Amino acid sequence: MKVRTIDSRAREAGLTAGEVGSTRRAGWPARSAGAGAAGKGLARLDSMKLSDRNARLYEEAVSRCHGSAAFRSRKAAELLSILKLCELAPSRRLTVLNCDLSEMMRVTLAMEVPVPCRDAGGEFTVRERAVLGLMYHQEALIRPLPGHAFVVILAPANVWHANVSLEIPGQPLCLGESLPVGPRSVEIILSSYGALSMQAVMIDEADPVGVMNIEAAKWWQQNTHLIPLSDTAFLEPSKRRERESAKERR
Amino acid sequence: MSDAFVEISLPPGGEAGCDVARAARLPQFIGAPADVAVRLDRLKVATVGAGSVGRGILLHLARLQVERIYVVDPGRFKGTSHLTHPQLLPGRELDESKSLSISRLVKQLSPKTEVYAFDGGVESLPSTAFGDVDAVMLATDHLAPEVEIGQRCLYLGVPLVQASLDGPTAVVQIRFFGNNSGNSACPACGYTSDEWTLLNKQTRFSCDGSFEGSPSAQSKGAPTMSTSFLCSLAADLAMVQLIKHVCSLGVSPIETMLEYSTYNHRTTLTRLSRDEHCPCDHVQFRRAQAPQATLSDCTLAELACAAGFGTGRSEVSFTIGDRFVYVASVLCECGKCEEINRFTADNALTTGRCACKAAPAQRVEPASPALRRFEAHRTVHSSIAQPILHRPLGLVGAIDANCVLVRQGDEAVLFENGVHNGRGT
Repeated sequence: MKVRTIDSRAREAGLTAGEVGSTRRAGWPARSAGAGAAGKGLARLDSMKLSDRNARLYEEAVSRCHGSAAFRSRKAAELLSILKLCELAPSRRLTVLNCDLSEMMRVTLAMEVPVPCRDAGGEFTVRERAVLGLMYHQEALIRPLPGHAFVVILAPANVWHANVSLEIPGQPLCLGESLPVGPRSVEIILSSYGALSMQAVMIDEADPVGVMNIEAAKWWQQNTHLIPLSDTAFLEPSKRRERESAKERR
Repeated sequence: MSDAFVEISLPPGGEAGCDVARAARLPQFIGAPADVAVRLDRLKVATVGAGSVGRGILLHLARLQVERIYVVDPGRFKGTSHLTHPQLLPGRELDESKSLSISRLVKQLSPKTEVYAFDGGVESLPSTAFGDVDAVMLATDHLAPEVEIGQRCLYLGVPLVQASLDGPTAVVQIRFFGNNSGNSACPACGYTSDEWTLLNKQTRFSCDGSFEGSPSAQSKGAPTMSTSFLCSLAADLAMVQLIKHVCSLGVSPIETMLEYSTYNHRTTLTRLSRDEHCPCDHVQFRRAQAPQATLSDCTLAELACAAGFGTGRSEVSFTIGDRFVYVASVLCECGKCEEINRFTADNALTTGRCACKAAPAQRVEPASPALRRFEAHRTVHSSIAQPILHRPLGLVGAIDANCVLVRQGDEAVLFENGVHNGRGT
């Protein structure tokens, strides 16, 4: 059985499920679920101003940015775009907790996103926040890297997802068979959001592209009614947050 | 050279190799130096790609009876291979390793040549695998190994000769990358956006999670669409350029592209130059031997000093071998975070002593598997490695490090154990 879902906004943008499926198979969504949803809003990314905190983070990281000239400037540009994405996104959707440009680019991100998990007793549960480690290797500039080379899920543990391996150390999140040379960090983050919230998901264990957790893939095939975990686009505030705000206002 | 290579020898009791000396046919090239024979006797060449073009190059090298040949190719023969591969009979050796097949043939043609084969992708070889060769011959259809080899040769200062052809236009191109400095051109310098797109298309990964150390990328591309004579022409011209360089015949081929166009019978020679926007790391390593008996006996501070860098500046970085990572702290089973500050091989657990004394020498691991991957430093900077800068590497986990790269900005020194061929420092 082959199941692919599609973000509602991507659908609005004219992407069919087949197109999303084919781009996933090719390893990199031309418009990831998050990107599709956020496409229009992302146009404002370049003009975003950094908050004092984020500007400080950026300056400190850039002052310790090492490596070749090409890689240094790329790392700085990628970090800047991530920080701008934090500013553009709704409150708490994305926060840079830590960043290090001394070797490869390493950014620790807190993301408000539903994360499917299974606790020690095997009970299925959805967490509302993830801490992600984004790694941008120098090799990414000169050759395609596998889809699991960029993002690890630092928290929560025991993620129950077809694209998150329990066997490979580090809970790497697979974003596709391979990512093209020099992917943009913003795209990686949006794809991670789409994958975790299961707006774009591959759960066919027989697909040649493969899944990283076959058991989870089979489980999700039996529970497709839970997919997606959220249809909120990356740049939209979460429904829970909206309810809370409304409550506060009342 | 790396242990990954298999040394090829003549089968005992099998067909004897040829023992005719090269001098029986080697001409006295006009204007050539007197030591041409010696240069050929000492020539060590690696060939990446042993298919339609690479196989031809290897047969030429065998007939020149050079000192050593390395062959790298992960491919297998197909039913159509004999149409373009020299000295391959139809239906023979189907599904056999291309690298092993040609290596055996080379050994028969030149028994005195040391022949080593690697039946795998170049990215699986250690980063210094081509450190002791005089030139690398590149004859592959795939762009990923092309970029990888270009980067490695640039780092190590090894000349790279790339043979390529385009079947439909019947054009053959030979690029000679001299790699005299970090400012030399590399194969990726000439890439257009179409080539980067093709590179993306040609590379696929398995879902086994491998990436660090030995990526399992499989470059996929169509078989060479050409004729055997165009393939052999590419091999011949590549050898012409190599021998011009080795034997100092005429104008140096360094940093040139030789192009032969069949349709108008025109040969064009153009200069190769570095693209300032090339994403490759255009830095050349100076090469040096360990200041102590082995690298395990050296400290990072000592290596930085030997490289001419002061550790007072934080931007000195260290990369140990191909598999060591630096771990600053770990979490004990008791839940306490413990500073560990040592090197460990990829995916290996780290042993240490926890302050809780729950067990005298219990096994400890980084905070979580996720953190282990995320926090480990493949390249560590002096500011992070401060606690161990003055401790011998062997005492901080890097017990069998075979090389250490010390880098400050665009200057880099590669320290190695043992003797190398003297190129560089």
